[in-house]
Amino acid sequence: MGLAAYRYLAQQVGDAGEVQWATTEYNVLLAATNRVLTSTIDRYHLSYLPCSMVQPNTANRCKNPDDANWAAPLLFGRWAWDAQLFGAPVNGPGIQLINATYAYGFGRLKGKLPPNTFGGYPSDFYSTAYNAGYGSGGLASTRYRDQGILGYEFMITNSQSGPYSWWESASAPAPSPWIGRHPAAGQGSSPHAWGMANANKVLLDSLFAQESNGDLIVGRGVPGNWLVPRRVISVTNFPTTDGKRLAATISSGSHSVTLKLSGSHRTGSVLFQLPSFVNNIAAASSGSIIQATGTVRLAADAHTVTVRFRHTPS
Amino acid sequence: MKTGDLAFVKAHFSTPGAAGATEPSIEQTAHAIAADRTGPDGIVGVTNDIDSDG
Repeated sequence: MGLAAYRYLAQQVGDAGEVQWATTEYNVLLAATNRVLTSTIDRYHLSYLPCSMVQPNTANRCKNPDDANWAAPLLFGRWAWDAQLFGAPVNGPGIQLINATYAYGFGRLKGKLPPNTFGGYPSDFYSTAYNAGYGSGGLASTRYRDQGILGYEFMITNSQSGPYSWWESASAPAPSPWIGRHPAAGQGSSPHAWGMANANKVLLDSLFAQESNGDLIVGRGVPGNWLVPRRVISVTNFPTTDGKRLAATISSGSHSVTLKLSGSHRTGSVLFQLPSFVNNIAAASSGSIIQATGTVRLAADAHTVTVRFRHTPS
Repeated sequence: MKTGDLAFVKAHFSTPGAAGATEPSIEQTAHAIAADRTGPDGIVGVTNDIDSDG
């Protein structure tokens, strides 16, 4: 991911030699990563991305289903999602096995922990400050695009140890004089700045993100149950190119949803891309429809579009 | 540029900070990624920088 970002910076400062160096290094490192991961996955007959690139999860701490490190490949580095935003090639097990890795990890936790927590760390195995961030890989997936927001909702409901404050690893909620559900104990730090940064990035990216080519991606990680009639999702003051700001609202009707954009200086297409759109768009008032990815592609100067569903999202 | 900080990036792209080795340039920092590819088959090598090996 660092090489992809560096390539972009080299392009911006006009250093062709470093653009070429970064391109080559990125491709070589990605190829090496894919070889090693494929070898490990094949050798141990794995269906998931292992938390170590050279071991199955049964060979280290990730053998414990409650140890949230099983989801490390879905957060740290955030390659599968962020590299796409920078227009870098994304291929191999790191992208192909995202769905399978979430299914594997959550499958092991079924009956042990509630839905949408990834577990924690010794000795507080209930949840972590990274619980939303672990959903970042979902934005690059086909079946877990709303996992970041679902993880964040879990944190708000179950694991705050102070106002907007989470331990790096937290135990299960216990009775307390405070309103709501709060962990009995925790470790690491609270507040935990890295976890909060990860949570806020995946939340914002789930609502509004911009690719380095200027294209805007709107709503890619919005859960279906957020699309309730008369409920409005809004983003304001979103930083776009050259210091400009944009705002967006997504409002739901009974069988449709309307996107409104305001602000100026858009430099690319607008990709309205709710997970509930996948193979579920009956019509759009403007733009072109891509059913497989659930995308309505709008021109850069578009200000509004209403999209009608084939089936009401749930 | 998203932030409009092109002048800042240009100033620090190839030029280290005043402290020298402890303030490497953006270019030097990026090239360290290549130097860190000491793991099996050219992946990035193991470190113990935060809580455990990774």
